[in-house]
Parts: sequence; C-alpha cells; structure tokens
Amino acid sequence: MKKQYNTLLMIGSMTSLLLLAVQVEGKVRVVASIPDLASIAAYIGTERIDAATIARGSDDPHTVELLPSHMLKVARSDIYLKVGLGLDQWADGIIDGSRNGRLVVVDCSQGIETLEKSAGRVSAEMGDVHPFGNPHYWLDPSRGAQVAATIASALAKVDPPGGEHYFIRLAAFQEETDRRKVEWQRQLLSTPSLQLLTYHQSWVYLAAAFNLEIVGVVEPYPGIPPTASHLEKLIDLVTTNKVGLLLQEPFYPADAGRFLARRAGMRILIASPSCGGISPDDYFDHIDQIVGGIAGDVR
Amino acid sequence: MTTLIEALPLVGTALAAALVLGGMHSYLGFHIVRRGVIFVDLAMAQMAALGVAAGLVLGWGGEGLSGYALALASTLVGALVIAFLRRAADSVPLEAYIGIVFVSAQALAIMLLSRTPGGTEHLREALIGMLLTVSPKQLATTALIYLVIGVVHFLLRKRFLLVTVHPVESLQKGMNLFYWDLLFYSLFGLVVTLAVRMAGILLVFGLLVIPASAGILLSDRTGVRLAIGWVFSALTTLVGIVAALRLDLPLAPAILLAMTAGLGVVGLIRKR
Repeated sequence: MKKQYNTLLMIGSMTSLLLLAVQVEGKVRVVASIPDLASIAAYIGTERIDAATIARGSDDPHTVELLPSHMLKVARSDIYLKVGLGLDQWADGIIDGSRNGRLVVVDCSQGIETLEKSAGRVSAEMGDVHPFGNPHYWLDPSRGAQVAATIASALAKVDPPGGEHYFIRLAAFQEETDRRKVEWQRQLLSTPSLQLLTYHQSWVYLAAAFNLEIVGVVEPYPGIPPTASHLEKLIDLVTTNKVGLLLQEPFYPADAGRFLARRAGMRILIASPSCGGISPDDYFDHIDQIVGGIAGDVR
Repeated sequence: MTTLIEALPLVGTALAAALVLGGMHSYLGFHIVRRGVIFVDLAMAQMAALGVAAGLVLGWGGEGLSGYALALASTLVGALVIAFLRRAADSVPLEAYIGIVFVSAQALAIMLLSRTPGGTEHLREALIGMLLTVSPKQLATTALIYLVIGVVHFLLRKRFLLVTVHPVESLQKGMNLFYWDLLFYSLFGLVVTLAVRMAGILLVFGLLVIPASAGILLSDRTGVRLAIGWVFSALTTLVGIVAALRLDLPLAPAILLAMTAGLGVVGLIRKR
C-alpha cells in the first residue's frame, strides 16, 4: 500500500515538473485543422512552438467528430491554422466555442492559386462542396512552401523575438522543397504511364505538381458515391486508356475501387491526403511515400 | 480535475441548451408516453430532418430562417398526418403508422441527400446534432419559443391532459379530438424541429422518453411525475456532460447514455 502511494507521489511530482517545464519554456501553441499544416508549422517553429492537430491523419478532413478536447486545445492556443476554402468549416464551431479572445486565426489558403476540378464535369445545379476552388492545395509541394511562408509570418507576428528563427527555417523549408521536388520528378521520369484514376478530387494539386493525368474520378460529384452507370463509364475509360492505377483515400468505401480493380485490372494505391495515420508524420515524407507509390505502381 | 474546471465554461452553452431541451421535453414526453405513441417523436424528428435535407438540396441550408421554415413545414405535414391517422387507426395500431412515417421520411431524406455533396455527413449530423458548438443566439431563440409554447401548454393544460389521459371522456365532453391532436402535434413539431438542429434525433428522442419514464416509474401523481422528470433530466445531463469532458466523448451520445444508465438506477430503487 505504502509502496503504491510512493509510486503515485513520484508520478505526481514528475508530471507537475513536466507541466512546469512546458510553462517555463513558454512555447507558442499552434493548433491546425489537419496534420499537414501542423507538420509544416513544426518545421518552421521547431522547439519554439508546440504544434497540434485536430483531424488525425486517418480522418476524412471534410468531416470531423467534434470532441470536448478539441475546444480545450484551441482554448489554450495562440494560433489556429485553417485549411480554408470550405474544407474545414467544422473548425469555425471549435474556434467560436473555445472563446479564446487572443487566438490568431490564420487561413492558410490565402494567396494560394486554386485549381478547379480537373474533370470539369461538375454542373452548378448539383452544388459543389468547395465553390472557391479545390481545397487540397497542400499536396502540391510548391504550394506547401507558400503555406510555410504564411505560417512563418504569423509566427513572427505572435512571437517577434523568434522572427529571425522562423525566416531562417522558412528558407530551409523552401530549399528542401526544391531539392525534394527534383528527386520526386526524377523518380517519376522512369514511370511509363502517368495516367491514373482517383476516388475523390483530393489529388488535383499533386497531379498538377508532377504532370500526372487524372483521367477519371470514382465519385461522380465530390462527396457523392458512384452510381452503377458511372462505374460502367469508368471501366470503358480505364480500358481504352490502359490506366493502371487507382489512388484511393483510406476513409472512403473500398467496394467501388475493388469492383474497378476486378473488372478493369487496376491496382489500388491507398493513400491519405493527410500525413499521419497510415502515412509518415512528416509533411515531406508523406509526399515522398505517395510519389514512391505512384512511381512503383503505374506501369 | 483542472481540465474539467477549465473545460466547463466551454460547454456552458451546450449545458444550458441541454437543460432547456430537457425541461420542455420531459414535460412533452409525459404526454407522449401516456398516449402510448412513443415513436411519434422519432417520426416527427425525422420529418424535421427531412425538411432540413430538402433545404440543403435547394441550397437553403444553414442557420437561416428559410432552412427552419422548410423543416417546420415538413414537421407540420407530419403532425397533420399523425393527427389524421389517430382517427383512422383501429385494426392497425397507430404506432404502426407512426413507424411507417418514420421509415418513409428517413428513406426520402437518404434519397435527397444522395445527390448532395457530403450527404452522409448531414445524415449523421441529423442523428447526433451539434450540441457542442451551439451558439448562444441559437439557444436564446429556442428558449424564447419554448417559453411561448410552455405558456400555451400551461393555459390549456387541463384539456391537453384530458385528451392525453382520457381520450374517451374528452370526446363525451364534446371536444374535437382531431383539432386538439393537430394543435398538440403542431406545437410538438415546433419543439422537435428546434431541438433536432441542436441535439440530433437520438438525444431528442431520449430526452422525451427517458425522464418521463423515470417519473412514471417513481410516482402515480402527475405533478410529482413531472417534477421527477425535470430533476432526472437535469441530473443525468450534468453527469453526461461531465463524463464527456473527462473521457473526451461526443456530447449528445454521452448524455443519452447517462440518461439510460439513470433509468436503470431508477428501475433498481423503485418501490415494488
């Protein structure tokens, strides 16, 4: 009994020490809607900031089940990083509900040149999830570097003494982006076919960055599951163009993809648009994994 | 514990909303349970959700008045159908028709939302609501309308009670059951429409049926039953919200399950 008590005491004092350490360091606390933005922020801020995410890598970033801990996280934060363009509308509820008057909300889509849906088949009367353009812009590394610049400015404003640090890290980020892009492009050079099918319109920026051609999308309209006739059309498309790969997000139903794979002999690459979850936690490693998967599978 | 104290202000609006809903619903639930039309509110809540779905398809979604108007109109159609069916029901029990209204409204909502981006998300939201992020303005509007409905119910309480508890006697007194039912279900529909947007179909159903059942289990007198229902819904709501904060759970399901557990406790302690 006494031994247990001692252990408890020890754990207790260790926890309070840890808490104290965090408070003394006075880090800038950053919460992001998705892990990718948190990862970029962590790259820029390193040990000067604490970066957390609301949606996990395995979550569909369009829909997030709101939990009390999300509000608490934001209530204690200095900066909130939004994806914007209508993707993370759920974030507004958390931000309002957290009643954090000093929170700086940064829309990371600011200044980003957005792309429309590549297939261009979305008619107005069907509605559109994202009227301001496709919101998955972080999957293009060059646009990722733009986001890094936005985050660096926001950090410098909130934490002026760290300003120089943030801009040095930003330069490092931009340098790594350029270096990695050359690597990725080289990897894709040896890939005979750069045509692919995607489940959702998550990959238009990735495709634009690496000259991939998205010949079709399994969802007839964003967020709407495929109908039988749409799947038939896709099979025709895939067979005539000899498309070998389907890029599918892990959180959408797998049956349509399996059906296509069976009927048209495609391979399925399960890839998350966000880092974390089934992907590496780091922004660059995540893109590296997807590019590697495409280079290995499209042939 | 520090987390709990820090977090309570963040769920203050949600807690107030749940208490307002609980106050109104445990009273109406008493009528519903005594009428033996338990699933009428699932049907009405689903009609409200159907209206919201139709609004989304038409692009009227969101917090706007037009979104509510469509939900309300759809719920009033439900009220009309159910008031009418009470007369039609003889060999087939009313509960069967109510079930049919529920599943048909659900099917129609699924059909409408299958053409809407993020449709499944809206279906789920209709089920579990968005209690955690209810805005103070939304709460104030709801509380005000509930107050008006509460006054109407208070003024007409004797006749509403008579229609609920002794429908045959009320017929003998020359009351027109159809119109009284229509009034009752219309007010009820208004309550449910407002509630579903905040708390979702599951919790709205729970708030109606569970506190009223606890009251009926513990007492024979109407006034005492109502009082027990109110205390029960307030206590279990509080327990549910604290549990949701401690264990980091979605709010509405946590409150619902706290009520179910509370009813289990009531069942154990009630006099035999």
